Amino acid sequence: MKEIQIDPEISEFLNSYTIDYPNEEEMETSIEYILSQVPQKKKRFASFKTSAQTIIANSLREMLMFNWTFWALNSVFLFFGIMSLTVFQTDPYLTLFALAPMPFIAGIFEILKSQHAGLTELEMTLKYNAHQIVSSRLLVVGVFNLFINAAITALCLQVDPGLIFSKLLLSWTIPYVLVSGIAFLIAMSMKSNMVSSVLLTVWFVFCYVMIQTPVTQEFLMQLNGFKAAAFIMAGVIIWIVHIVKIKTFNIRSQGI
Amino acid sequence: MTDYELITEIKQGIVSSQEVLVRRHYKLVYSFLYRMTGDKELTKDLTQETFIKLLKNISKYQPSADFKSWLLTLASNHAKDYFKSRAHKDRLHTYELTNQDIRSEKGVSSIFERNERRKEIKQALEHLPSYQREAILLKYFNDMKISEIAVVTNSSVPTVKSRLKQGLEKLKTYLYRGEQDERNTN
Repeated sequence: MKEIQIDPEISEFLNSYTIDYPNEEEMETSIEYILSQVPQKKKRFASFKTSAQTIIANSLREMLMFNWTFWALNSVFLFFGIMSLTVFQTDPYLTLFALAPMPFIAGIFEILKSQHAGLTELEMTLKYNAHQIVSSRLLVVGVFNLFINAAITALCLQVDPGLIFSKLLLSWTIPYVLVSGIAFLIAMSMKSNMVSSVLLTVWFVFCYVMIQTPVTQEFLMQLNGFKAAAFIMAGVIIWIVHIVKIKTFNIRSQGI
Repeated sequence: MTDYELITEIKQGIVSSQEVLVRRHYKLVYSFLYRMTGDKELTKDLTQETFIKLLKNISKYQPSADFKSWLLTLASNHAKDYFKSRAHKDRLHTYELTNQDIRSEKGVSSIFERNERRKEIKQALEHLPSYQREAILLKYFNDMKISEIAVVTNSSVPTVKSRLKQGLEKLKTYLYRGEQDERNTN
């Protein structure tokens, strides 16, 4: 079919008809308004299932896009853990406690990197919305951290079968849930590329001080079930707050 | 993820997919309506209403149709409904400087220059009947084929061709007259 050619003069004239687009905030408000006006279907289970599938599928894609420094740092942590337990024969409970949140803290930069680079909007227009992207990365880092902790626990038991399994489990569960939750809370408000390095340094210093101070060391190592449960519960509450926040994640709430 | 996949998810009740779909096409609808109306606030309202209509009627979308064409059909019909409405007749056609204009431009003179040019094009387009204007906008700014414009405007291919030809002729005449007037005043 023959298409009509537009006269160059007219073309030039129309070319100068620029669009006065709304600014980012106006556009966000407008999109929020649109979504608030649409009745949502109540197919909760189907919705949850598809969301979970999307997040898992996206996690695999996100994992391949993680920077090599994340994997290198974690290899160092793992190596450090193995050496501490086998060569330096450090206290396995304390070693696990110190190592437990490190992979997550190192991964915070990866989780929030597009916000730091100001790319969230671009990513959101492509395939997934912001909460799916952040949830996918959280899943990668969280599962990977869990895997490292489980591997070191297994190694501890291999090195010394006399260790108490439940105590080993508590040694890493508390920092894994609570410290990572607090670290993520700080990272969300810091909005800096240095967030992982700063938080890792803080955690190193904290562990060093704790190891050097018998009182705190004793307090942590003698935690009874009730106190441990209270710490874990506090961590779970922090993560519930995060999950709710992430569900309503958008560019404006991140101040981009 | 394609538009079709997103729509399938929306039909399944996935709220997050609605957001992705709206975000992906917001500027397309906005720019089309802006060129139809030439008014920022009005365009924002019409864009919102178009998307609300879209999401409420998403179940009616047939995968055989091109989604962008379907969306622009909705936008076009919505704009036509507005032009027929009382609200349109009551609305004052004034162009005001927006804060965005003031923030984004270096000099006030460039803002006026750009706005004058916009006004001029708006006036030229307003001289055309809405069906000719719409055909030109879809052809020129949305890079649509005549057959696609025919789908969006619910008319036949020969009709679209004739609308385009007549509209472009009128625009040319308008431009020529404008230049003549300018020369005469100088």
